[in-house]
Amino acid sequence: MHVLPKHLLEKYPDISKSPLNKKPVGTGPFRFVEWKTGEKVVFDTSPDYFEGKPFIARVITRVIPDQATMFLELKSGGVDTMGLTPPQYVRQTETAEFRKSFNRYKYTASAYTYLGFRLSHPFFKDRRVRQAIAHAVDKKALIDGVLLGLGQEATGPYKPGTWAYNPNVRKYPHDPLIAKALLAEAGWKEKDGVLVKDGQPFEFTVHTNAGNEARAKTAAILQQNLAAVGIRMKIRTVEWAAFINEVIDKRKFDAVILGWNITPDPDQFDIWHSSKTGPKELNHIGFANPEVDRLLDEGRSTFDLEKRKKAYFRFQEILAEEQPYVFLYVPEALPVVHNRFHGIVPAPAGITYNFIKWYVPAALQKHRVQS
Amino acid sequence: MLRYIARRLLLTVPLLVGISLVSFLMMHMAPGGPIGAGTDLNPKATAESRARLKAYYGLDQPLHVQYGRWLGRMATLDFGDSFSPDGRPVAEKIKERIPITLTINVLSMGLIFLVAIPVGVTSAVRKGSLFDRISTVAVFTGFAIPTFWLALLMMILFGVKLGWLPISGISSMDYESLGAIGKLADRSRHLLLPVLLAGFGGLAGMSRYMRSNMLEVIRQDYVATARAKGLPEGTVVFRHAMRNALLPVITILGLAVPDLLGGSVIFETIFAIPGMGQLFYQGVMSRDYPLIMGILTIGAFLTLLGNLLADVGYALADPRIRQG
Repeated sequence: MHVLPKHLLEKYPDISKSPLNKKPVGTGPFRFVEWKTGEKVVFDTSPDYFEGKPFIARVITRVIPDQATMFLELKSGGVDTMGLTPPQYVRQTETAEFRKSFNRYKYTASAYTYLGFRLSHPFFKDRRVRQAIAHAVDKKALIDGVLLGLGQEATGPYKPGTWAYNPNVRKYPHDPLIAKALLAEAGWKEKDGVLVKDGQPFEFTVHTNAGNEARAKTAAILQQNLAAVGIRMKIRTVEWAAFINEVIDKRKFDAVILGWNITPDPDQFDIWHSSKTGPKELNHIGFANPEVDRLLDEGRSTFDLEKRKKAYFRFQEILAEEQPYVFLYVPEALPVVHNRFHGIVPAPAGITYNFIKWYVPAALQKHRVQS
Repeated sequence: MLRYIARRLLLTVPLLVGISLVSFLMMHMAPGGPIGAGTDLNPKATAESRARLKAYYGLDQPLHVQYGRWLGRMATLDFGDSFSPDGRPVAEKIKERIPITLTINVLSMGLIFLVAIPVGVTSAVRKGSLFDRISTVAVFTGFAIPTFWLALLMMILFGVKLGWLPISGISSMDYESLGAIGKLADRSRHLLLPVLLAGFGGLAGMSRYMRSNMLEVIRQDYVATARAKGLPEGTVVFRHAMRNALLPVITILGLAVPDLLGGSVIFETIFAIPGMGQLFYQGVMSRDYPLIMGILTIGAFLTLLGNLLADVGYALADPRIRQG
């Protein structure tokens, strides 16, 4: 819910015509000054901020669409902070020259990537098949290959280390033999390197959105992992809007590689509750489990942290057991900041939580705001 | 002549309507819609809010009604408001992008003509010479090198290693505080690399075109006559041959008119230039229908206008066509 200031909005009967759409107001530590479309947004400090006025007088967010250009801007002094990609973090910022002027940080990002199954699909209806795939997937290879090691294995929809995260759920170590055994139990027999059941080969297509390099690489590694246990996986990447409207919304997929952000509150009602499987709703894999429904209702209807924790811990156990998603990885966020900025105290929540306390010592100041 | 122009202008009206109808249908055939950008995979977007958004933008109406409304607005030159969250008028959004795109395109096109015509003429006159061979290799190299890669190399060299030029964007952080001359210098420094690179990539087409025109003309009898009269080589080449070889360039100029306002997405992305290319690309990605239609209509109009100008210009320059 955004702040809707009466004194600014009451003049406009049609709220969508209000100038606030282009010149927003708020209650944060910075005030909106200027927005040059496609170029930059400028913010100045707000003297009235309740935690005190920030030390940095002006913040400019520049719009630079290309990752490589952004990195060159960083090196030439055009920007002071950005998020690095894993290759930039591992290979391009290791030089002594770079380390002399920049500090890099690393913390667990609030997002995870998953392989989701359409649960009404004849192959994936069987829990043993999903568990077998979980065993076939080499999460470590994914993290090494896609994130260059900068990430951790995901076991559920929560961020490792946070209060709702249950570290003791069932894990699926990478083991093609267990995977094959589970698949055999489910009736799949190997024939010329491919699994077959009732004359049908185990062949399916995984969909993901085009333009996401990490997901494309993930798909390629999963393809190899699954081939090793006799499953043929085809990969299709589709432009985002088409992907959502034609593939996800119409449930025209066997499996998808996608990701979710991890919100600070652990409520997962919209993604896992059985009432949320309709068109345009987010339980697109069609997961329905009465106990999970009950747990999700319980978790969102109490403020008692212990009760919530219990509900969400059990919820994660069920997800781990059922494997409606194979939870793949949680990447690291990799911000880099020019080292003339002082006062940065890394924490599990990242580095920007105390942004108002960041400062540049007078001798190092590069830009000054004329006042 | 005037009647001819008037007839051509009248013909553009049904053509424009036809083009806009096809564009409109194509746009609506693409999967997804304008409200998807804000509501897809968004747990806060309910079916009701989606329906209200659709009604708000008039997307709940049948296609012919939507097209009729758009056409009605266009008749009064009203491009409508953008569907993006800022909701600004499309005309305003396009207007603020035009200067930068136009500047880059005019400059790089000027550069292309300035370099390509002499290069083309010289390599035709001295066909097979060392200059001809070297220039051929050079212009084709420019044509073949992926510009985004060359752009990055140039940025590393001039921006990071030497520190002579800014990397991207169109103005420095202190742009506002600069004087008029300072602003011009700052803008020029920002535009130098994009203009040079765009020019380099476009040299091949123009110079090869000029070369083959010139080769054609130089074989003509009247050039031999001029030479036989004992005219100096310079007069033969520039006065007699080149003027005729330049005629088809008018067509090229006419065809280039719509390009003046069409920005390159790759270029603008690499150099972070807020130009027409990015505006259109973002419009397409977020299915911002009024914006897409606005840009397409302007593009169609300029194409038709360019063709007309080329035909008229050709008639003015070439007596054979004027009389025939």
